Amino acid sequence: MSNYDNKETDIDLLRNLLLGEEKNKIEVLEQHFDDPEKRIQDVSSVLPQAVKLSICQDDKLNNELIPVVEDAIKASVKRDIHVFADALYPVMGPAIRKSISETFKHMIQSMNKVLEHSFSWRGIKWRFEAWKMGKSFAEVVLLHSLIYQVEQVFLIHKETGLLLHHTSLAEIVQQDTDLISSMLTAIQDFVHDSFNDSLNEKDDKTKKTKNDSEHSLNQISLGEFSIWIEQGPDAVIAVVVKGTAPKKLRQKLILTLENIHHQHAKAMQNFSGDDTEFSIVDEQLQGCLLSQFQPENNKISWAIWGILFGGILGVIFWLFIYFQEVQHWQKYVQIIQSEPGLVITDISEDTGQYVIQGLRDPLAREPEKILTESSLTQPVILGPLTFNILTQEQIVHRFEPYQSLTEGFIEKRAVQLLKAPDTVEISVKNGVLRVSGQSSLRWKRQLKSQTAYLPGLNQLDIGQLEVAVDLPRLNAPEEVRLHYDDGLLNVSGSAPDSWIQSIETNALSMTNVEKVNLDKLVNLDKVHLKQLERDLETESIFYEVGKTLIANISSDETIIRIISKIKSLIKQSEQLSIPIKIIVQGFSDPVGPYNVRLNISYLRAENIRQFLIDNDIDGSLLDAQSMINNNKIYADLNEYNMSLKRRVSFSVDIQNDEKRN
Amino acid sequence: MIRKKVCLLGSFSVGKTSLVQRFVKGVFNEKYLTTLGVKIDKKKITINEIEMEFVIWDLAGEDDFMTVRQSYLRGTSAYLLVVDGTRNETLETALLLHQRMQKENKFLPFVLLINKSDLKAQWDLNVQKIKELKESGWNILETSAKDNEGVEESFQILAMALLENRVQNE
Ligand SMILES: Nc1nc2c(ncn2[C@@H]2O[C@H](COP(=O)(O)OP(=O)(O)OP(=O)(O)O)[C@@H](O)[C@H]2O)c(=O)[nH]1
Ligand SMILES: [Mg+2]
Repeated sequence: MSNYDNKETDIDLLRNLLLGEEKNKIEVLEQHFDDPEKRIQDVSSVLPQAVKLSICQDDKLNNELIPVVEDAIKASVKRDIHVFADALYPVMGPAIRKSISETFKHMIQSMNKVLEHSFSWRGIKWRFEAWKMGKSFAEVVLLHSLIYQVEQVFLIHKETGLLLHHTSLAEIVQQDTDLISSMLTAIQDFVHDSFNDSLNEKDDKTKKTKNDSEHSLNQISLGEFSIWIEQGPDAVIAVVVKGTAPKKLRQKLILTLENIHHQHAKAMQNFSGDDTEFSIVDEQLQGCLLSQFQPENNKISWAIWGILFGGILGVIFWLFIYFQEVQHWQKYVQIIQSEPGLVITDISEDTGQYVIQGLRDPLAREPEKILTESSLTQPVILGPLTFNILTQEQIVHRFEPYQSLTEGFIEKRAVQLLKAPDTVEISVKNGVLRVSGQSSLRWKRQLKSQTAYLPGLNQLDIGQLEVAVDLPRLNAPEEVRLHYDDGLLNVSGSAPDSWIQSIETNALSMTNVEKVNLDKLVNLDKVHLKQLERDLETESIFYEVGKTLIANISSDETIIRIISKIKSLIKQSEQLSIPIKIIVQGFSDPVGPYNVRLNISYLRAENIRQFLIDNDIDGSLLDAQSMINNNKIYADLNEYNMSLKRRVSFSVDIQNDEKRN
Repeated sequence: MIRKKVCLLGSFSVGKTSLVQRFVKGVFNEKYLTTLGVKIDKKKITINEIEMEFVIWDLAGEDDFMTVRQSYLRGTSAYLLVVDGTRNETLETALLLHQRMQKENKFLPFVLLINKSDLKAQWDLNVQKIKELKESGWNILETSAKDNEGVEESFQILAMALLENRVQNE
């Protein structure tokens, strides 16, 4: 209370008395409001909730803030763009890229569609294909854009052709892998041998080493598939490829094969048919299951960039031409692809040059020719302009020879190799070579050896192949049957001697007849001769007891008949030039001493012989003989039997005619 | 699984293909289709509870115009010599083929099959020679692809011989 004399001090005092506590509080508040630090602290503690509340009520705050924020961003960007960009990048980068690519994709797609609709025959074709197969267009495109895919890998033991191990893509249906493996070895051996054979013939050693690898079969084509083969000393690796694989696949095969040889040479050399120990190579073989897909029309996309950035009509025109060129080129590739006997292994483009590589069966049409014959390289007239979309020079062909195993080509090859006459028809079905029609014997004989050199054939059917022989030329009588088989002419039936005399030489002078068999042929004239012989041998002249002469012999009917029979017999034998001898046999009855009987029987025969000579029969053909012997005793000797013994009869010796021919 | 390559050798038309078809597929065909080159088939066979698979090489028949391709015989473990009972000359060919195998230092198990036993009435073979071969220890079997006689047995004999070889080698 020391400050009472001061007015202010008094009021203050009063105040202090009345409002002492409140005043203090107010002072504190005053201080609080005057201190910016404290106010910031206060606002900061309520601001978030206030903003929240304000946004909930209306968007006044929002609206107020927009210009502020915008200005702030502007200012920030003006000051240093990187700060802002850096801050946003992690979020925006992917989003932008995504949206850009999204846009482009869309554009490319719609562009592609337009292009395909307007220019591409293939586009329509694929669409049709998609519709036909019930697949989506995209799927069909993928199918066509598959460049290649290795579907199966075989490791084959070289010595035995047995399968060491096999692996394949999971989705591939397993075929009979053992058989495939053996078959491949056989084909390989075959090609190798054939090659060596032809070399040995030429005896040209210098060429051998050079050509050895070239000619060993390392690729076989079967429709959309091909088999690539690589040989090692103990094992062969073979892969089934869908599509056309690049050369690097072969590198991979060689490498894998080398590794396997390096690691398992011993096991392979000692291989005894048990393949379980080779399952460890699975991983290595899996490594050969290569594949490559090509996004279709990726060339178009960079052309689209041209449109996007150039945007000039000229570019569009150029693009149009370029697409035409690409279309032409792709169309050409398709033509080649569908051409039998041609297989494309690689296509590439390089600054306006198109390179097409592949395999060509020597019997297939030449790709260059196909190109000329197609309309693809013909000039196009567009208003006042004439230009070539694709020129011959733009396309480079690199084709290596191979043998196509489609039946059409096997057949063509067979026809070419066999040089079949026009009368022969050749067809191939399921590995059977069917040869029918008519050919020469020589041609038929060489057929089997010739066709064995044709891969893709495993059987030969010549059941319908006849060898042509001009049988009517032989003028065979009606009773003769001619049967011809494989060079041998079988003649059966019956014919006159005059025809038989000439048949053998005539037949052997005919083409395709090597041998003639007459064993079953009856000579009618010889039969007649035999008949005459038998006729004469039935005749006998009978005598009275003790007589050696016949009374009235000149008018005896039997004798006259006998003379005429003998004459025709001799005549027939002369015609056939078969020497004969007629033996006049004299007999007597068994009564009386042997000497007497001998004498009588001989005289009977001799008298008849003499009489025959008197009747103009050549005596040198006649022989008189007694037929009596000393030791015969007859049981029943009645008169009738005795009279039958007193006779002369005849026997004819026909010279065996074997030597005559 | 043990796999073995087996070859069929013999003159043309003796029935090699028919025997294989009978063994593998159980069928027979009267029609004669000449084999060109080689035809390969396979069949599993179980012997003494051991399973074995034959990879069978049916080779084109030997005749005056063609000889068997030697490289096809490479790596074979056993072979069947096939003779046509109705043609004695096919026996000569079989003996020749056997000699050739021996010359290549291939002392392999083999069986001589005299095929077409259903046509026995028409058989025309040098009986003396066959007797001699039998006495010298050859396995000789009469077979018919047509009537399915002796076919299974011939392959069984080969399998047995191969198993014996294996045991000896081990
Ligand atoms: N009756 C009879 N005929 C047989 C028998 N085996 C084969 N054949 C017939 O003999 C002919 C030839 O038979 P294939 O099996 O083709 O003879 P292949 O030895 O294979 O002949 P190539 O292939 O030419 O060497 C065919 O017509 C068969 O029907 C048999 O056991 N009995
Ligand atoms: Mg056969």
